[in-house]
Amino acid sequence: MKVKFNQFAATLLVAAVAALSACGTLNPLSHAQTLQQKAYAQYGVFVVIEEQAAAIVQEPTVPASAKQAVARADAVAKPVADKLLAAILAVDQIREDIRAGRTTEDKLVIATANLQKWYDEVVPLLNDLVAAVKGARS
Amino acid sequence: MSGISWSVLAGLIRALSVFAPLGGAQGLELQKLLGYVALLLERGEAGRHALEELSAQIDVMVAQGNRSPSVEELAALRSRSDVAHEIIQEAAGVVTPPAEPVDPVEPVAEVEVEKETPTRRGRNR
Repeated sequence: MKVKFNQFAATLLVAAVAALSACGTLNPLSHAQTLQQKAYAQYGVFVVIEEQAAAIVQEPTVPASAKQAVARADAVAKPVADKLLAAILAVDQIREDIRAGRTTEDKLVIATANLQKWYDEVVPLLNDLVAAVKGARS
Repeated sequence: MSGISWSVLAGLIRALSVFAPLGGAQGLELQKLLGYVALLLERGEAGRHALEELSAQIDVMVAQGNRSPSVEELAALRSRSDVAHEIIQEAAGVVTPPAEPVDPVEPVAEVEVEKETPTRRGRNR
């Protein structure tokens, strides 16, 4: 009995390690080091989820109400996600302007805060989209 | 990853996301992340491949002196998002008006309008 329990525990441990290693490979956010890379990873995850959503809404078995819920969540999330993308570009542009002596460091502080703000705002909307996709699948 | 199927792994990750004894913002972030990963694992190869590709892309950025994503990389992601967004909205029956009416709904009406153009009348006379 004890041996069986140990085997079960060992299997569970192996599975947990495999799961965590899969999380590492499949988690672009854990690979990013700078805020811009993290924002890019977050937008990338949004796009991957959006593509999954696009595949699901094309399935004929998915009810119209579920498709509409996905569409609503996507319609709310996309403009915010696009702002996040624009904020990445803005930070880069300001860095270039600072190097060229066209602007000052305080602009970079504002642009970085702005990027952080859009990054934080997109997270709950991405969760809503994930929830809508899950709802459409069930 | 031999011996463990993706669906079993997805279930395990989902269980971990529920039972992960973590508090605070970091714990919440991890739970959300585990939720995304479980969803994508369950959806199949396409989602997994896309995430692996994205992770590899970021590894390259880090290796290249921690550079920022390029304009081209950002544009490529944006374009994929635009395509997916359009598919989702169309499939849900949300009608978005086209920027320019390429295919008029009633071509006959357009012909009528053309006949009424003053320039054409002047030319005909």
